[in-house]
Amino acid sequence: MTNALHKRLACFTELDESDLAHLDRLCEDVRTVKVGEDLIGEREKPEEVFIQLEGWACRYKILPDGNRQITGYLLPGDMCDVFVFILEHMDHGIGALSDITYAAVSKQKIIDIFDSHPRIAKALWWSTLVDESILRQWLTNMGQRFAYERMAHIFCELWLRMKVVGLAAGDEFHLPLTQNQLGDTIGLTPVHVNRTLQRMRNEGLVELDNKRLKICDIEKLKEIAQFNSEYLHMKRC
Amino acid sequence: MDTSMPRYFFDLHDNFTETDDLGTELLDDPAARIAAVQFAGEVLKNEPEILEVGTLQIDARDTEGNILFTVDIRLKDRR
Repeated sequence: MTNALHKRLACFTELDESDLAHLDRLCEDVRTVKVGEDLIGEREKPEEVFIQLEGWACRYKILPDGNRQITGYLLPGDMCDVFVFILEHMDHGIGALSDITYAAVSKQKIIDIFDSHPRIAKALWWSTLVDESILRQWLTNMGQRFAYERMAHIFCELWLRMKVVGLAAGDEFHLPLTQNQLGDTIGLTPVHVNRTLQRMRNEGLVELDNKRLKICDIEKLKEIAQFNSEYLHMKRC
Repeated sequence: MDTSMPRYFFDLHDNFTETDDLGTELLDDPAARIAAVQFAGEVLKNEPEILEVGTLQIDARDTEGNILFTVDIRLKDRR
């Protein structure tokens, strides 16, 4: 169940057997959440760090009029900010985009890692820094790129992130997003998401059926998105 | 998502016709009009060249196929 986590952190550093065993011990408190439910809501006090084991979750903010912005995806192997418990309250919610399994790691266990397992500690910092880097990339895409490039970019990113954790076989992966959720991520109305997707399909770039996204022409897609994976900091992949 | 909301289909005509097969659930006709105008705005922001060579027309249909309203945008050369 911690396979994705091992693979993800291996993008950054080599962890030995004892590190991996320790990671598994961290993930002993396994919980499940159904699609549409929250792992934690905005304004709640964060007491634990979540490590995503199976399925997709997202960070999101809701405006008073009910509009939503998705500000990040948590894929298998991802975690929420390693020192989140320092904060008094969550400034965003974390919700399940599919049925998910996650590990809840206590504050004490996290603090202990920084004393006893420096390699893991460094890998957890790396993971948090990459989350911030992804957010900067998304902000840049939202502010400066056109809809078509934006969608191409998010597909390139998700494809790569799923691939490194072993979940994109044959350039195809499970994309549990609705068109509304995709629109709430890249700032497009559902009508426009629908059209952009149709255009990509017509140009032979992707196929989206039954929540499976197939990347048909990754080189073309990367070219459209001007995709450079450096911001993901996967130095060992 | 409230499944009792009506579904609207937005067909786009510029040089080509793109038929919306999927549709979008929206609260009511006023909400659909706003969505159509926003959609037109997004399309033009991303593909301003559309008006260089023609017009942008968005037809909103209901599930029975009746066209409810049209957003029609053109650039007129006045010289």
